[in-house]
Amino acid sequence: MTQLPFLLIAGLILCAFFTVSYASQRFRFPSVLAYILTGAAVSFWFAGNHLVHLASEVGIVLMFFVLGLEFPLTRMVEISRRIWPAGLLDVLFNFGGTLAIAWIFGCDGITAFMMGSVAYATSSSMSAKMLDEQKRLANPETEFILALLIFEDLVAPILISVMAGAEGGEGLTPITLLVLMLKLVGLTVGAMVFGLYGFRRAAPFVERHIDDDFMPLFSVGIALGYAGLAVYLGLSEILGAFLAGMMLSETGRSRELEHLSLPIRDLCLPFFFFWFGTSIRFEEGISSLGLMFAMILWAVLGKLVSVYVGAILFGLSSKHSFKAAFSMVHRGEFSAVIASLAPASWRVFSGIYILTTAGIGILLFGKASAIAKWFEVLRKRRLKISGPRQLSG
Amino acid sequence: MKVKTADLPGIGKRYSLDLAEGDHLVIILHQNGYREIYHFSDPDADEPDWTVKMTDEEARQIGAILMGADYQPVSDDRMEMLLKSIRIEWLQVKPESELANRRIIDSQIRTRTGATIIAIKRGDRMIGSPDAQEIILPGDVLMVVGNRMQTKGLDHMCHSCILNMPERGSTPDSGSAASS
Repeated sequence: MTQLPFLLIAGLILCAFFTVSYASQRFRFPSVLAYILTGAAVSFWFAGNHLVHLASEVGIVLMFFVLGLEFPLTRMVEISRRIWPAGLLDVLFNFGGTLAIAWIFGCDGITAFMMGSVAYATSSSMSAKMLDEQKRLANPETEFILALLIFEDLVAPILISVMAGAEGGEGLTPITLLVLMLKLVGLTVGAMVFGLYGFRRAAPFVERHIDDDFMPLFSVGIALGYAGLAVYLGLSEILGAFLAGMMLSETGRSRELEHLSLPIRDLCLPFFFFWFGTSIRFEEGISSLGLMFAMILWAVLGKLVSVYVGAILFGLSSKHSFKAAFSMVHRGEFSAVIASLAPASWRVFSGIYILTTAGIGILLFGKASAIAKWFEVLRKRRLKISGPRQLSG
Repeated sequence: MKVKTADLPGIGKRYSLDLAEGDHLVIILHQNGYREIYHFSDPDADEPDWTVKMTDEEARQIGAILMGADYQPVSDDRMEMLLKSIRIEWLQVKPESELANRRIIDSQIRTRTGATIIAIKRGDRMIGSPDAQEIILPGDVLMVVGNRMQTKGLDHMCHSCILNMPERGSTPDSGSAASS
């Protein structure tokens, strides 16, 4: 591998990514999964490739940076205010529930926490793409689904930070947890101060120079810098990148700054999923088939129940709540981000978990309307039978 | 006609409306500029009967055609009534204006005046349907829509430091576009 010139390798990889991405679009297959599978297929050649890992890190930082730009904290909080009952239920069922399952199967605290985090979040990129492709943007449950995804976006960086912190130290003791929380708060407050007192004042500067060629340097520099600072503090680069996006959004030019960072993100992000794929070694095997089976079962059941109840609490009709529930099973990029922090043996485990749940989720998403209709008929029939007697169950 | 709007976080904005003929339309403005129209004959249907997708430029052209920029089928007296209730005006923001260097949302323009900014002309650039986070700069020309009282209220905000100080820069040098 190393005999070939760097440029040739880079060019070949990018062309291969292009092919994979184009093909996945043609066949309506999520590109995230396509990259992971490609990576897993050729992991033999790329094991421990330093450059792929570097590019993947830049990609993941920019992914969260753009997320922070799109949803500044004030907007996130505003959305969360409406969605928090459903959001908390989601955390409780899918993070808490999986953590409990892993615990019962004999995992230690950190591993259980990690499995809970891997299982927690639905894939935003797949959801957005499928909602658009299947022309469901007009449906009432779409708003709810998107809002819940944003709530997850807000929780995920925190989970990742706690995990990154716990990995660095010798596990989670109350003191390390306290120090970690202080650092977390410090980094967040820092971003708010920079945002409100620094970047809001710098708005005219950004406004004047938005089209100049040095502006991508400005925005990507700040993204990588703040992410790096987070790593230096022993936190996760993902949280740092997210906060960097949040503080730059205070300039009021999120849209343009986002456009500047998007090309670089689109170049680098495939490397992340590819790299994650290469780190899955099937020959290492899965440590516990029972746990895998239980987790996948819970991945479907937990999401269905929590999203359904959450949607009812949000004020949707039961039919639309069913539809929402069956549209949120697929796990994807967040789980991969978290699994990438895991030790090698668990990475295989998580990789298979992600691919399986994503597959099931995509199937259910396509059938969501039909299933919801069927459930609705069933529910009405049951109501008719049990209606006159009592409202029980 | 009642238009319901909703945010689709991460995707864009959704407008739904019922037409006089009974059709239900949903218009989606994607963040990346694409517009989509979904048509439902039954508002509760799961899937639209048909959808159209257009680029930003196509949508603007179609919008202008629909607005009657080229050919105006509405009879004269009805048009006049429309103009009486709705005015589109161009207002320049003075440096001493309370709006200058503040975000639209911070100035609470719609709550305080009722008028809506539909575009901002800044130098050679046009910012169409600006975000509430947009910062208004001195010298900007605002394209605003509202009734007479509403646009007048906003006109005052463009000139004076404080609202309700009407007689400061009384005549706007940018005239009104829509009224006679």
